[in-house]
Amino acid sequence: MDRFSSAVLLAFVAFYTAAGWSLDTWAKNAPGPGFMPRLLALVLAVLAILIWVQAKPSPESHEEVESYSKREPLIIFLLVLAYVFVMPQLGFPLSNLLLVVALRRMVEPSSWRADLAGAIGAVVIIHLVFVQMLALQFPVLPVWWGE
Amino acid sequence: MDPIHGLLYGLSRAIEPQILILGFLGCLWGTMVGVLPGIGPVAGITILMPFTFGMDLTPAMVMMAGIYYGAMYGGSTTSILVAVPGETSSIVTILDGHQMAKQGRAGAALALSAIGSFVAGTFGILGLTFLAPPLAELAIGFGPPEYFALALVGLSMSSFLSNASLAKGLAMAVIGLIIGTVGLDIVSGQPRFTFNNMELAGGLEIVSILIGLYGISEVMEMMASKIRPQIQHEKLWNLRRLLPNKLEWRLSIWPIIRGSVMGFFVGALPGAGGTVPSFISYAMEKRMSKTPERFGKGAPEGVAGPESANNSGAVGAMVVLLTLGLPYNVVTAVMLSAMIAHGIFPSPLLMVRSPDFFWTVVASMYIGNFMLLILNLPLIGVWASLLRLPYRWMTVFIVLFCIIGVYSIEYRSFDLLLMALFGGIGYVMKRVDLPAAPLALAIVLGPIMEKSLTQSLIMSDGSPFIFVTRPFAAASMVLFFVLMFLPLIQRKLGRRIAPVGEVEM
Repeated sequence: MDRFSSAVLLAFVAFYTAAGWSLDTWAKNAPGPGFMPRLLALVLAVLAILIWVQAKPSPESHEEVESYSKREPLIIFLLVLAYVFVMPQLGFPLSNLLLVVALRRMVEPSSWRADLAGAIGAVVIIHLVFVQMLALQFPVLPVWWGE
Repeated sequence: MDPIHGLLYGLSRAIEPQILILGFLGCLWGTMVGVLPGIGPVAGITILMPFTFGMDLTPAMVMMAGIYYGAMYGGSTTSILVAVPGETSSIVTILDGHQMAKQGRAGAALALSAIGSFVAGTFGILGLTFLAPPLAELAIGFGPPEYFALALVGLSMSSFLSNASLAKGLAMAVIGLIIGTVGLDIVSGQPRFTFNNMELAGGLEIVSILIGLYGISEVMEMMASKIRPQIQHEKLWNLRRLLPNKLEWRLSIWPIIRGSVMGFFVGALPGAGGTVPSFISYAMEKRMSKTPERFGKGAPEGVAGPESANNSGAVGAMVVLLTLGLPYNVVTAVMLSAMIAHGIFPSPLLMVRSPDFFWTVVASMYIGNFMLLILNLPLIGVWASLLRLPYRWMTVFIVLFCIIGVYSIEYRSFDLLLMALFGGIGYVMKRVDLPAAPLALAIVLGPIMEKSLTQSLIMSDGSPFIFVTRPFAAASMVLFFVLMFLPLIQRKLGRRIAPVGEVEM
């Protein structure tokens, strides 16, 4: 796993160096905008190589594999990512409702009715507290509503 | 303003209803996030931080400080009752606290923890009141080279103390500094790594990254772990026998005093916060005990000492933040980013320029400490029952709070995207054993470090020797190099210093 981390870090260093290639390292008597990025890229490259060299083969323990699930974290990540794109289109309450229902259905679900009722309750509470009471400026209606 | 007058003035402001209520809410939320396993003070503060942007800085800071030390109080409850630490500084409390609970002394363990925390918190705040002014006076002479060197030591110490290897900790710190380079260059104003994207021109929003790293990734971690803490009913019944007996008192008084004093000073060191003092206190008490074999089997000293040390350590970390403007752990880094967002850049002159802010925050800490004692002793059963909350509902609300918090900063979907991505990155980092703390600290320290490095090199016409010709900067650089080469020295000597979490138990 450490070798994998090291390889990812080295790939990142390559990308970062290429992206900052055109920045000046030094300007008159002061460091230029590229000074810090180049210094950091160099240090990170050295550290990535060090991690590679120090890496030890780590036998995967069965216990850990059994006590950790990959499905739930991935679902949460994808749902939050989807929310980012859906919320500006559907507005805050509707997107929240979809997110809460999806979270409840996909992570330790109970009955559909209970999940839906719970989700509506949560969305109403959130809306009352943050939009009505605290007056946060969230898009309340879907973008197509006013068309 | 001398400390006594400052404190009296601060008290007059701290009892204003708005500050009092927000301080109370901070303590309440802090205790709650401390009690709930998985959500620590960092997530607790970052999730609520965006909501403080609409407030004045003083009540906002009072609330955040309340969350910080509230979490220190609350963290012990889960450690004692279910052997799951509420936050990292309470890990060591499990060893004897949970054993006491198993022996029917849960109430006594919780009481010792709360009283120790109160005594230590009060000691720490007294230290803050009387030591902060002279420390700030000393630091007024510091220039960019000193600030760069101190920040470098803070980052390297944080990497050194993380549970991963030094190389991994430093690599994460460098990634954090790299994140800080996105946006306009502070000297030339030239865009860096913005890829012609206007959203990136202002830099990456620190709060979104922190909420992703500590909020979303914690939720992912909670759901990935199939193990759920189980609380036993009989343990809650035992809470009625709350007060420790005479022997428990006698054994705990000195550990509380030692933990309070040591914790405060160690907590003020780079990277220490509340966690390192709690481990040191445990090791110290065990070594000083005439009957060390009782440790790990329900020794009251093993609860009283570390719980006192982590509370005074938390206040110790605040001293450095409020006098030097440098965050030496992740919680104070989050507080610093909140202060910057409010337009206040803490420095040694904070007490002179904003005495109202400084002394109100300090005075409110005294009041908050009393609030926490009341919240944590008689209401302990209520906090314990929080552990019965269904995980799936906790998940839903934390995710919603993170989203609302991030979106309300600037109402940009881009910040939500950043939060989601760093949530994923934070989770993967946990799985591949890369520490998040140095990264988070570096994100906040990055701009300070780059600015002070650039200013130092301008001052010296580009000569790096400026860092070794000024005594304080030179001493800090020596400390930095010692830290860097310590693993090598240890290997040569055939010994190693245990990182946090591996202290001899």
